[in-house]
Amino acid sequence: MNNFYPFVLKETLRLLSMQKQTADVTFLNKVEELYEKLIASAAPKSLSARVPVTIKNDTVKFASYTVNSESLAKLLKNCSFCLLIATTLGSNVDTLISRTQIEDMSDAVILDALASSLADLLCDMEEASEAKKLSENEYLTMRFSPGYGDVPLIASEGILEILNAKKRIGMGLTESSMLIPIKSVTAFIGISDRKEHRGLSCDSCSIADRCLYRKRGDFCGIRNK
Amino acid sequence: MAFEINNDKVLILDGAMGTMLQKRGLKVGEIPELLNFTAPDIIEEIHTEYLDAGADVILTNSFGANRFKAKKIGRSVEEIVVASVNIAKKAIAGRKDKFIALDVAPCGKVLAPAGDLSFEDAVDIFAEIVTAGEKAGADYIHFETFTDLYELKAAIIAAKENSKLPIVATMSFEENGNTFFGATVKSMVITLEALGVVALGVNCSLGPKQLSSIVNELLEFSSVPVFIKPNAGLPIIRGEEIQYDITAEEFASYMKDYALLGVRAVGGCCGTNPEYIKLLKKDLSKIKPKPISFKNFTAICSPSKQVFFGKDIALIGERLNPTGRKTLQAAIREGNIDFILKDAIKQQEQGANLLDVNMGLPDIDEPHMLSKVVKEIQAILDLPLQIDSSNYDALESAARIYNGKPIINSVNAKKESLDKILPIVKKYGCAILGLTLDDSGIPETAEERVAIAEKIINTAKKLGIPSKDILIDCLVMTASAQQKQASETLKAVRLVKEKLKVKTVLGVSNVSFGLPNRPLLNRTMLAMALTQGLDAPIMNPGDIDMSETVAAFRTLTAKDNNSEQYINKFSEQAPKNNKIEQNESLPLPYAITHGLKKEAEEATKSLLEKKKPLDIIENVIIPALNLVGENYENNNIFLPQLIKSAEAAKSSFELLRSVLSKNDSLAITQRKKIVLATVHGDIHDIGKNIVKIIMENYNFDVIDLGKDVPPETVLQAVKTSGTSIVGLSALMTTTVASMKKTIELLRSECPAVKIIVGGAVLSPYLANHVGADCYAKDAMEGVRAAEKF
Repeated sequence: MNNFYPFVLKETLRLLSMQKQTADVTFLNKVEELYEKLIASAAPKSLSARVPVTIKNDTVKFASYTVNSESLAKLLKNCSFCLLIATTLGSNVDTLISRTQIEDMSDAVILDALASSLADLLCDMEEASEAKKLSENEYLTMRFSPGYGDVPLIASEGILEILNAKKRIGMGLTESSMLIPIKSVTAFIGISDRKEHRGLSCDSCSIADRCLYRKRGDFCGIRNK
Repeated sequence: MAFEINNDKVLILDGAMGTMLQKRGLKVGEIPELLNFTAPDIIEEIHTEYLDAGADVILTNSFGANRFKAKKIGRSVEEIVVASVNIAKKAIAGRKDKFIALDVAPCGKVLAPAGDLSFEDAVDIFAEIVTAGEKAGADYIHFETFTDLYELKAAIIAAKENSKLPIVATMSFEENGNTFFGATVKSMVITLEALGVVALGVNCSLGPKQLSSIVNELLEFSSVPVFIKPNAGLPIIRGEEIQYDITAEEFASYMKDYALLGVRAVGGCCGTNPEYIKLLKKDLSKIKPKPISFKNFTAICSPSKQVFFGKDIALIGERLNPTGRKTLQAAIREGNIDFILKDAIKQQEQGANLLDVNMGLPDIDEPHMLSKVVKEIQAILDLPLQIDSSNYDALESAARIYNGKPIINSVNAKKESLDKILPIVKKYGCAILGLTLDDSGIPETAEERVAIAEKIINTAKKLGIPSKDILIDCLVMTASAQQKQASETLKAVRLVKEKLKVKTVLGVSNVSFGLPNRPLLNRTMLAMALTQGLDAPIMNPGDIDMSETVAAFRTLTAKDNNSEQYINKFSEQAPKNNKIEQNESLPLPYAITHGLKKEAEEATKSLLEKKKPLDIIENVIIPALNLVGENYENNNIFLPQLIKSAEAAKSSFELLRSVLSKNDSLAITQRKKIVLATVHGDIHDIGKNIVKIIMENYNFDVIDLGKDVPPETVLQAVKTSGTSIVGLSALMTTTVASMKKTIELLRSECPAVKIIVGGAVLSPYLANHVGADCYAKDAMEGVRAAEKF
């Protein structure tokens, strides 16, 4: 996972609201040291599946699950299939971050950002490997995770059930629909019959009004690919 | 007929249920247990096919029959379980020597601390299932596909408390020999055997080929029969369909090898069908099972780490005991868990192999505190624990919620002690530390102490606790008062080892009380005890004299292979000692703004030669912290640096507090109190923890309630502490409702309280919506807001 480091570093600094030029060598060495720790305890796993999807007004249906979301329905409007993705760094990473919070909170904050970045990158990779399997005239939409826009967190339930993610990669949900392990991602990606705009849009983002990145003229992680 | 594992033949279990149902049209997302009502004939037909193929045991169609699934299909757990057992009964009617196993799988939720399901709720969930299963007439309980050892322990406790049926328990592993939750094969065997299962093993996970090392490990460590139920190889996805890569013939051939190695029951999981079972029956029917040997090791474990006593010296860290430790006493009283956890981590780093945990203070709720601390330690540390208390309820509650197999410290030969403690050891699957004293006290001679040890061992045996699970402490007396006792104790250690063949433990440092140069006596006594066969000293792993003695002993007895650890430990020391101490200390403001913890401490020390503590706080630390705050707010420094500075200031504060005179101390101990909590349902607490650290360094006395905190707990804390400020954190939209509820409760009971909220999902708008007084976008804003109130 060492070749991921440049990507993870960039994203980590962004999560910490820093730019590379504002980080000194001591700090960067620290980040690298913590990344080593992170990958030593990470057990990354990803699952994905292609499922038929139907859209009616603001309701998206896949298998026996229904999601009420205007933005997801809009995203999938040209799709009769969609990809479900679940990725996780494994429960050891959660333990490592908890333990580090007791030892050194500053390290824990960096580790937490590193882990979020790595989980996101894993999701990118799963997406890329699925993209290779597309037939002609099939195009991916951008990625949407539960919690983004008006997609309810509970939408993760269907993704995890269909992928059998608890049994296969140890992912679960809490009563309030938070993913376990904490450093995990679930996502929908539409398989469209036409080329889609793949950049994330601030228009459909629920926190656009208070986005820290926008305020400094930046964008969030999964922008403009 | 009662279920038993026949010694004359390998037991044949059935194959997959899910795979068979999918072949008959069950779709992804559909719930198999529903078919117990809508298509019982299909389930019966599958059972019958397996029985015809030669299965001795069929597993009921109740894999997911828990309350969550039951709700989804609009049936009660009892209805589902009873229906599944009745179908199985119909299928075996008229057949001889066939058994019905009540199939029970994980409940689908994740237990705390990783998730949000409490241990007791998990016990409840499984209690419903096993109660119904026994009533309906299942022959034994078959727990399978578990990946969290903690959930499996909850399930087994539920079974032990609610039924008399035999228990078989199997888990699913990855090829590296760990489960997703980090449990290892060894820890599984150690824990489950102590809990009293009749058989254990592995199911699902992988194909028979990939399970080889896991099966070998199971056989090497288990003293009870091993069951295996692998998948038909690894899955291959073909379009919409999942297939597996091993044929029935190959499957049977692997399984035959495993049976020859000693596996006592075989069956199939995902991808298998009656054809696989038929061949198993054919190929394995002539194999006479290997007798199972008793594995005579003394071991305890957490899910991922084991301590095998006797194999090497095991250091039992003694620091988590409030006796004589004022700072720890204060931490326990204040519920300062971080202090306790820091001590636990420190001992691990100093080389402790397991930790003794004692929370015994006269005026606290010890059962609650001991189990809370055990849970908290296990959430961050993988060392096995020794649960130490003289309070029976505290021992029981902590043994119950411990994840793995702990040692209980301790039992002695007094009747009451034996009567009360041994049943706890048996029920919750523990090892036990036996002290050689009885109603007449501690005997003077070694022989009498051995006799007491023997009595403990024999009484335990009657309850079914094997002697391998008993460790004996022959008790060290103070040499100043009872000089001759030192050699009696040493003799007793040797005799206990020779005659009773159990492992020994000693708290050595007691020997030197009341005499000068205690370290010399301690390390000498330790060396003498080790040569008599002491397996596990209870000691401070930070005691350099003693830990060096252990290092030397391990080298001289070849326990430290090639003296590797000895060389590592001591070859580094020379240059360290020669390091030139830096005399010139950095100025304190510099150390704080640059987040240099050690330097801040040094600088504070040298400042103290010139200035008064309060002067340093007011004129040096506070201005430096203000500068740090401004730098952060102006984006000149970022969160990691802010925290580093806060921690540097904290080390300085702590030093000053320790030297302040009583009057001065009053001034800074009267800090503003604030209650912090991550709301109920929310398990993400790093944000709240950051706020805590920053607040503490702006002179707030933070009462940290942790994560997933119910509204009533917040209210209780506000009332007890008398604070007027509360900080609440929520990360997700789903938990904002819970934040609102907490605030409503606080408003109705304590209208004067001021509430600050924060967290990823919150905004000034939402803060207003939930009824908070103020929204803080980060820790610094939180501090500023709290300062205003």
